[in-house]
Amino acid sequence: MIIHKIAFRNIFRRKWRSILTGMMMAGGCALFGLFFGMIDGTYGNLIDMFTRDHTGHIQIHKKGYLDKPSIYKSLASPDSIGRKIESVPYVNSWAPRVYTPALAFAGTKTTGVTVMGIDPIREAKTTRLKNKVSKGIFLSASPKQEVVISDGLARVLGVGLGDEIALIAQSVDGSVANGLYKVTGITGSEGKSYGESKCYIHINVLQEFLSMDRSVHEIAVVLNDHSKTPEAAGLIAETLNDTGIDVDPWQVVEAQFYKAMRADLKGNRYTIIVFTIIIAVGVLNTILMVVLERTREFGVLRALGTRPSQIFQLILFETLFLSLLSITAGTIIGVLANWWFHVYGITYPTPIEYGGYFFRRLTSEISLRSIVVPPLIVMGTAVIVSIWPAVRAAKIMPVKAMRAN
Amino acid sequence: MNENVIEIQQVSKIYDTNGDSVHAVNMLSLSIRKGEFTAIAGPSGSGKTTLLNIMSGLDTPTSGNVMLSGRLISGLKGSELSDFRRDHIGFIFQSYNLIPVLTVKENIEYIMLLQGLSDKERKERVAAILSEVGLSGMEDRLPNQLSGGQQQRVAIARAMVSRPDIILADEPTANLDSHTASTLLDIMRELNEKSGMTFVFSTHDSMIMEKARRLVLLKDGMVDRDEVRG
Repeated sequence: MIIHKIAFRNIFRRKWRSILTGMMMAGGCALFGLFFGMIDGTYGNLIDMFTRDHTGHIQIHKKGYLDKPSIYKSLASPDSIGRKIESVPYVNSWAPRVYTPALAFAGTKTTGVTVMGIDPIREAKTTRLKNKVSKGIFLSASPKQEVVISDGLARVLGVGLGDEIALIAQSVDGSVANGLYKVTGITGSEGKSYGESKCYIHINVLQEFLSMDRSVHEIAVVLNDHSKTPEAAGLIAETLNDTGIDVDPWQVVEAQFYKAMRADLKGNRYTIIVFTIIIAVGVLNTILMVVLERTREFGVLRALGTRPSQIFQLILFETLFLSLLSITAGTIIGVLANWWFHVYGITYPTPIEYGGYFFRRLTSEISLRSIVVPPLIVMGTAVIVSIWPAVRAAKIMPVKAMRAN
Repeated sequence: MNENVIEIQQVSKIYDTNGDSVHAVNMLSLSIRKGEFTAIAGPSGSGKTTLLNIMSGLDTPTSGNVMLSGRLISGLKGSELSDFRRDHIGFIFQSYNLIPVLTVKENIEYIMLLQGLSDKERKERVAAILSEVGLSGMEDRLPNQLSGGQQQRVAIARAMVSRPDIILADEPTANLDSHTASTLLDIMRELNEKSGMTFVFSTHDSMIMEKARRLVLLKDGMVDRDEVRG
């Protein structure tokens, strides 16, 4: 259509103005893309870190355990629960866990610790705990008097590989339990999820230590797709159909972090609004200049028989074409910037604590949102702000317009 | 050749300038028949351009009626008026007013494209009119690659190619040298004779006044003299 042809060619009439306006839109689009990529990348990594390092995407507990943990709140038949949840869509793997607070002794040194009983085979399939063993080896598949301790605990107790530590805790039957365990592995201190005073022993050994038969305190579930967490949690709860059991997604388990993340994301809206206003003012300024400069031309077009609606379209399509060229460039720049930050990132000199976890590296992700949303915001803003100047141009009185210089 | 394509009845146009009323056109009546080659002349401020604007529906009269091709145009508004101008009136402006981003061919095609004429029809008409105005071979040039005379030829071609009832030309030779102006006037007269289209000029140019078959002289917004030549 001739109106579209004129609109497209008009972009190249004032090259520098179009380039500057286009650069502003492209820059805005690229910045939006990088902004969303950074948010998705940083939070994605963080979520992946704590869900795959320890928490899992979903946790199953005896009702009320999360609010007030107790060694008495346990799930009696973890294998039966496990078999049921294996049939639920998105479920990749699960791992049973037993927890207890204890006192750890080594020589003359003592400290409070959290003891976690794990199934070495299932835990290795479910979380990255095995990979976090920086010295020695992970726990044996069969129950043995072995312990893997955190690097921080090894330092406090002054122990190394092959040394023995004693654990003392209260068992479920009220008696005082104690045992001697050989340190076979030490985990690196790479995150708070591997806290300073944690030790891991075989789940059967800890169950026997606490006299709690085969019951467990927690079942951690990892999914194939973390974005399906709420849906999968609902499906698991439906499958188990037990009012005495809580099925919680990581958003509930890590409520403190999740709240902080939500608040941060809410705050980001203001950044988006400020970016959008800057783009809107720039585009509006350009389009108003166009209408003012070309008043006479619009008058001539109207005199020749161009309808007001066609003048309106002319302005709108000029904006649309300039936006399309700009967002194409902006999206490519944004994707390249996100790719660079995804591959190389920026490592912080010191980790930044956030919601109980640590940001160590500023990284990005080339997410669908970082590609699709920025062009929509930029083009939508440009088109919306051009409506008013387009209406003004369409309403021009030809005889007055043709008198304009 | 005695059908009136333009009928102006008791038309006045009053401008309010700093509280003073100025009669640009004052109770003027005029009829122009189909196929006429008419020049409306007069000193500055006599109301020539205002009258031309009122004739074309670009401006509205304060009072009186304007009938174009048998239709009362004072009742037309917005898109209806645009469509009427597109289909019935061709414009030739003093400063050519070509669309700068379109080539010669596209400028000539513009109105036909708005009218929705077929590709074949447009091509045929463009080729014919380009030959008539002496611009064959220049189809793909942009307006800024043409001289003033060539641009005005394009403007004439654009005005005529959609075959309107009336061509209104506002000082069409004012920016041209006398030789070019004379050539263009000859072209317009020839086209007028061939096509039977009605030409109305607003002008100061004595050459146009000489070549016009009818001369309407305005003074103070009224017809001072109206001569029809053989």
